[in-house]
Amino acid sequence: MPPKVSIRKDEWEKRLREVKVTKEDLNRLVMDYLVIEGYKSAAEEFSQEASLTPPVDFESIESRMDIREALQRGDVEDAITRVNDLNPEILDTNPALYFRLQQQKLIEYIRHGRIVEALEFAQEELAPRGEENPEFLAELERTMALLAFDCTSNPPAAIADLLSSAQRLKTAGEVNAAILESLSQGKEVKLVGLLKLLCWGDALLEDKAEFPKLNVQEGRLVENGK
Amino acid sequence: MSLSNDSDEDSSPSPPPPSRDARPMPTVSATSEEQVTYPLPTRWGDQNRLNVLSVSHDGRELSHHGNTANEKEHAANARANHFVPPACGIYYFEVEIRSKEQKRCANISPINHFKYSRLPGWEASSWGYHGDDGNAYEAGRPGGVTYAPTFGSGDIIGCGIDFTNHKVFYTKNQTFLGFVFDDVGKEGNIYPVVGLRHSGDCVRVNFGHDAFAFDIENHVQERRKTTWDTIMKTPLNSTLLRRRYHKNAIKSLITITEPPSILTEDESKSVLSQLVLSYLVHHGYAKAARAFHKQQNRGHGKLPEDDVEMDGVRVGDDFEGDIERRTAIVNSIMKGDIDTTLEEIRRYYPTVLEADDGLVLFKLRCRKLVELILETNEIKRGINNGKEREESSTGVSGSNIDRQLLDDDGMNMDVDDDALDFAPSIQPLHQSKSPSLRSPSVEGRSTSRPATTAEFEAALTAAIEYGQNFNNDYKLEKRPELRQMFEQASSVIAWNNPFEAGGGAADVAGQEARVVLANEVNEAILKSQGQPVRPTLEMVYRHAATCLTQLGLAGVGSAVFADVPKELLEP
Repeated sequence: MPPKVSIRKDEWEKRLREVKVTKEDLNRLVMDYLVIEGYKSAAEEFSQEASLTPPVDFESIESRMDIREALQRGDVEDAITRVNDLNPEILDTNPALYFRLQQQKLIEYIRHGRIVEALEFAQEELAPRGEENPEFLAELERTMALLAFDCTSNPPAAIADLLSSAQRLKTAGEVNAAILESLSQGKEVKLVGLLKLLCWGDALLEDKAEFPKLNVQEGRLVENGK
Repeated sequence: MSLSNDSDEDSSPSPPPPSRDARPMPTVSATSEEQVTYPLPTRWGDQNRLNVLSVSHDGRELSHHGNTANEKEHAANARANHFVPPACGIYYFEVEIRSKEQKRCANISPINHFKYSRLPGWEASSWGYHGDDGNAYEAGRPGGVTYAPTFGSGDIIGCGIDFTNHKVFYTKNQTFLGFVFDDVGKEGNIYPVVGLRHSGDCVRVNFGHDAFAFDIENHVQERRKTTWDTIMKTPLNSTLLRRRYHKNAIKSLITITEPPSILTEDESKSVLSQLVLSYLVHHGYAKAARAFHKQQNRGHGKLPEDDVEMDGVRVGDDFEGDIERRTAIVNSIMKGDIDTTLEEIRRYYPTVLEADDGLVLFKLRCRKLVELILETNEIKRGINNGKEREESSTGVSGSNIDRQLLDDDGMNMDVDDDALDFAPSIQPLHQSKSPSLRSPSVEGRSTSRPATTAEFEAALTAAIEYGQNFNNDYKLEKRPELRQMFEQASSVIAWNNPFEAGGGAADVAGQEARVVLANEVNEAILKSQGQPVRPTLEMVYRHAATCLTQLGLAGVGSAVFADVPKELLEP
């Protein structure tokens, strides 16, 4: 293993200056974050103040957030209507996603003890889909197993997660990703990618060199031992 | 890094290769930075082989021509003229086997310790794929391990050294044979080597001279994707949170380095939103910052208890006030109202004036002097214009006079609205509605009636007095650049209309000078508050990119496969 290279702060600063990145680049990164995370009014103001062409229309940000909220509070029907209002192709072209929403709807029926409706819905809407696709069938069976347990008792762990809020979030996340995709917008926040890159690169380089670290809280370089 | 063996080539007994073959062929090189370039292998080194091997004119073909019984079955290697720079990420070359007989032995390998008479894979720090048995050989493993099919005459064998995982892969006639060996290229320099064993064996190498049989570009693309996927699987960790080196760390003799812990969802979100908010605040995107801040607090359903001071990032409720104050100060400079500037700075950011031994204050006073002189000039032009108007009024129609009255500032009417956007101000009606970039308007003086000579003299006296007092205050000032600034500012007085004077006077007096000063003051304010001159977000990008470049230089091949601009910046 060769000895560690030591890079002093002034040398590092010089290299930082050499990195090619413009304010426009960074503005776009910020816009990407605001759009994907659903900060509609901030995105709107930002596009004006920074004269930035918005990557999507701002109304779509709001409807996306409305859909997410509907799913988080368990109103699947409202979410489906809103997705179709936004773009009917999203569910038409994505049977797995549509099944996921139907499954969520079934879960919500069961959660609220509306057993008759749950059975009817499962037979009419979900069973035919299960016949087409073995994966759907397995999921349907797993969900129906919830009926065997009283809502007050604790269902076994294998199916208990279906009733958790994490399941709602998961469904909401999948719908969100599908909408973003339909808008040709990335699904992952690029700024998160940047932070991951920083964690990755910083850790790897630590084995190879002594170099100033970036204090992300304060935005300044810190030299080892100083 | 330099290669001492390079000098061997100069004493080469065979003629130098044609130049088109001699140039490095970075076909597979994935270096993202241009500043460091390494030579790549171009031919078999003339010195790096035994005499039983001969090299063709172009340096690419190698033949074994042992004559004596002893020589006929004599293992012999040839090594390329340059080592392979790890910063290329993946290095790939191909060898075409042209032996007279089938199933003759050839060995293709990366190597670092080179012995001419031992086949690759038999020596320490060498690795080889042998044609006679299809085995993969490496040091310390006699007999090798079963790897792939045998190869012989007519086959094209490719060898790739992958510095992203420190493994080697081979291809046979366009087919990928899989990765083999570990820790290749972690230490020492790696050279492409071919070993021949029998008289009559012959190979021709392609170091990127021609198109490769194997689709290496596609392979590289896949590795790029794999690398980025790996990076994207890295969890966000406490590197982003903690202040790793406290200022009082010197007190403790033992530094305890904890492994960074993985951030929770909430912590990650908070890091991100702080970065975004501080970015918006830094650049003065006030409305966006306000909207973001508001929606965030609503979304998280909690009061902004942690936003007054969060680990040193001063992005509190007060950030709006701060932006407003900074915007006001910037605007006052843009309007030439330096008195207001100084007043506001003294009230809100008093330390700014002392920064850099009072440099900011000095610059602002220089500007004040310039503004006073400009005012004097304007009054003078007002007097002249008044005379002109009197003289011309008889022959000019009323509407013309009106327009002249509205427009005429004696200034260039080639207006640029951008300047105004940045400094919205209420302009008196009689002044030009959009001051041109080069000729700033001066406020606070009424020109609705013709200026009098008395006013002119009063203004001139004020300017001169200010200059003298200013000069007096700094008579002990030794810094030559400050003296020069003062002289430049004073020299503006020599021109009746400095904007038309061109050259230095126009530069000192013009609107651009106000813009530059305004930016400097804004940065000085940020600095005085302990805010970095660059937004943290920008620092994060620059720091991450620099880490990658440095990793590439340190031989971590995977770093060069992280195509950051493509992944993060391209729309």
